[in-house]
Amino acid sequence: MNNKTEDGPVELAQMKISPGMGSISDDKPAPKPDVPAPAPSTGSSMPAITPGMGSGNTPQPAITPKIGGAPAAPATAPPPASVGGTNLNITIANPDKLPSLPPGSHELKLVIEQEKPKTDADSGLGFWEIFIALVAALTIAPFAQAQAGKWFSNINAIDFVRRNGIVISLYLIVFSAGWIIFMIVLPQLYMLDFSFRFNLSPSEVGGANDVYTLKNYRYLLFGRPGDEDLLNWLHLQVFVKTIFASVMVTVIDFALCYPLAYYMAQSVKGGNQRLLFLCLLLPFWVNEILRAFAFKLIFAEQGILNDVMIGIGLWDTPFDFFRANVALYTGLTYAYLLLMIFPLYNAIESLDHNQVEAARDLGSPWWRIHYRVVLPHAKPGIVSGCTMVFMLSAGALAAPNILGGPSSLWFTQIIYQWYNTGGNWPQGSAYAFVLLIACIVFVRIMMRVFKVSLGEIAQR
Amino acid sequence: MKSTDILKWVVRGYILLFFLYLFGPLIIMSASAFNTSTYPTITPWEGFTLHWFADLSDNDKIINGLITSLWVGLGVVALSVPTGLAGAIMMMQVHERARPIYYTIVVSPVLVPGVILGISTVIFWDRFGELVGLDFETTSDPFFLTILGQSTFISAYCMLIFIARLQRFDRTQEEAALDLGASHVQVFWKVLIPFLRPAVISSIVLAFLVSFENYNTTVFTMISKGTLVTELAGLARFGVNPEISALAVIIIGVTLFGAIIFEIKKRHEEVLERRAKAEASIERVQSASATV
Repeated sequence: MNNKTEDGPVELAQMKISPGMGSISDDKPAPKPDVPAPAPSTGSSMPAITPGMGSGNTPQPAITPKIGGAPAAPATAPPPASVGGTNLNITIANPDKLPSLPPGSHELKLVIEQEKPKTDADSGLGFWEIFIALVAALTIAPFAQAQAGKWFSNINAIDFVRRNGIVISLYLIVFSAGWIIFMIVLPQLYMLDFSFRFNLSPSEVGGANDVYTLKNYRYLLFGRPGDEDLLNWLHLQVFVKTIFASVMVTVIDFALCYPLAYYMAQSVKGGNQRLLFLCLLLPFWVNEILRAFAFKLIFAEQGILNDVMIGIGLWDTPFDFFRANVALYTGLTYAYLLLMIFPLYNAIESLDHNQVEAARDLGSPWWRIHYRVVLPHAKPGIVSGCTMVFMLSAGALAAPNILGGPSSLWFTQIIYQWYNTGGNWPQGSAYAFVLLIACIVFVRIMMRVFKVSLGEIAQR
Repeated sequence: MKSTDILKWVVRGYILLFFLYLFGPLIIMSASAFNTSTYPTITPWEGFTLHWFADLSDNDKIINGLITSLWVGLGVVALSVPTGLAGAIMMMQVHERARPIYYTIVVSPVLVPGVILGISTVIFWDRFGELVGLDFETTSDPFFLTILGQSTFISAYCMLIFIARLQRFDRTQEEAALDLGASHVQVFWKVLIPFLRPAVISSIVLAFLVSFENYNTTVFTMISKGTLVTELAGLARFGVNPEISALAVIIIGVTLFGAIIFEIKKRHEEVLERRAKAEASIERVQSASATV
C-alpha cells in the first residue's frame, strides 16, 4: 500500500469541515495532523472520503482531485457527505497544496482533532509574560519602597539596590530567585502535587479524571486493593530495611572514622598530616560506580576474596556475598567513609589539646575523656557527618544496583522502577516523597538529640 | 612507657588497616585491567596485556557518554558558579531575621537525596512547561534537564565555598572604590571578583568534577541519552568486564592527577593566607603596643 499522503504533514491539503446545518462555522485553521483518525481503506484508485461504515463507496465522493500530474481542481462547493445522520461540508482551503498523485492505489486520510479542553496555557498569560512581570516587579519594588521608605525606616530593599547598583542587583535577584523558585522550591512542590494524582495519559491531564487522590500512598502501605495480605509487605520491608541499613552504615562509618579523625587532629602535625590528608582525599575523587565495581570484583564468585579463602581452606565452595548483602553494606560503608572523616576531623581539630591533658591529669580514664570532653566538643561534626552518610546511603542508587543481591531491593531501586519500567510517575513521586520525609526526620532527630543548628551541619 | 608503646603500635596498625581498606579495592581493580583473563581479577594472574584499553577505545557508547559528560559539566559550571555566587552575596545581605529561613532553603539541596532532585526536576519541567506553553522539545531535552537538575545542588556547594571566602571580605574596600568614583559593576569586577578568585577557581573545579561523577540525579534527567557515568553503571550492573577496569585505570589516573594539582594549589593558598593573617596580627600587636 503506497500511501502518499502520510509522507509529511506539510503536504496535506487543508480542509475545512463544518456541520452542514450552517449553524456553526469553524474558523480555526486546519487541525494539527498529529492525531490521525483511523482512515477507512477504500482501495480504489480514486482518493475518496467515505464517512461511516454503511455508506461504503458512495456514488458521491466528497473530493475528487484530478490524477495524473495536473494540479487538483479546486473543490469549492462539494456535495455534502452524510456522517451518522448529520451533514458535513468539506471544503479544501488550499487546493494548490494537494499533492499530484501518480497513478496507482491511494488512500486519503481524514485527520480529525477534537478541541482540547482549555488549559491555562490558552488563557492568555504565557511563561514569558509572567517572568517579565516578576522581574519587573522585583526591579520596581525597591523604587516604590524608596517612596515608602520615607515613612518606614526599616525597609531595606532600597539599601540593597543602593549598595549593589542596578545591574548587580538585577543579577543577584534573577539568579538567586531563579535558583530558589525554579530549581529548589517549585520542583519539590510539583513532585508533592504529582504524588497525589492518578497516573494519567497526557490527553487526560486537565480532564475530569485529573483529581487528587491518596491512592499512591495507600499503595505503599496496603498494596493493591484486594490483595491477600493486609499490608504491602514487600515494599514496606524494603523501606524499613533501607532505613535500618543506612543507620547501620552510618554507625559503622562513625566507629571506623572516629579513632583516625581523633588521631589526625590531635597527634599528627605538619607534613605528615598533609600527606595523610592527600591519601584520604584521593579515593574520594574516584567515582561511585567504580568504587562499587571494585567491590564487585572482590566479592564475586571468582573474585579474589573467595579465591584466597578457598586457597587457605576456610571454606570450599564460593560464598555468595551478594545474596548475603555483605557486598552491598561493605560497598556503602566504603563509599561514604570520607564524608564522615572530614567533618569529624574539622570538629576535633578545633579542640584545645590542653583540655584533654587537663582531664588526664585529673585522673580521668581515656573513655571518659572522650565521652565528656571530645565528643561534646565534636557534636556539630558528628551530626554533619552522620547526616551526610545517612542521606547518601538511603538515597544511593548505583551501589545497590551494582552490589545488591538478586532478591533484595533498595528503596531507591523501587522508585527507579516506578519511573522506568513501571511507567507510573505519580507512584514513584509518592515513594520519593516518603524517602524525603524519612531523610528530613533523620536530620531533625539528629539536630534535636545533639542540639545543633542546620547551619552547623551544612557548613562542614 | 610500655603501655604507650603498645598504644603507638595499635594506632599504627589501625591506620595501616584503614588505608588498606581505602586503597585495596582500587588497586585490585586497577591491576585487573592488565590481566589477560576475560574475567577481571588478579587471581590467577594469566599475563600482562593492554588489550582491554584498545577494546575500550572502540566502545562507541563510552566515547559518546564521555562527550555528553563534558558538555553537561561545562553547562553546569556556567550555571551553578554564577548562581552560587549570587546566592552567597544574597546570604550576606539578606535581612538578619530572614537569614535562617533563606539559609535552610538554599542549603536543603545538599541534604536531599540526589534521586529526589532528579525526579522533581523532570516532573516540574514536564508539567510546568506544559502550563506556560514551553515546547515539549525543550522541556524534555536531556541536556537542559540534567544541567538544571545537577545545578540545583552544585550551586549550593559553590555557594558554601563563596560564603566561606566572603566572610573574610573587607567591605571597606568596596566603599573606598565607590567613593573614588567606580561604578557598582566596576567594583564587582575589579574588587570583589579578584578577591574571590581562589573561591571561583575552586568552585569551577568542584562543580565540574561533581557534575562529571554524578549518577543519582543524572540517571533520571538524562532520559534516553547517557553520560559516561550512567553508561558505566549500565555496564557494571550487568556484566563484569575488564573494559570497566581499564576505564577505571584511566579515570583514576586523570582524577588523581587533577586532585593532586588541586590539593597542592589549595594547600599553597592556605599557607599564604595563614602567613598573611599572622603578619596582620603581628602588625596589629605592634601598632597596639606602639600606641600604648
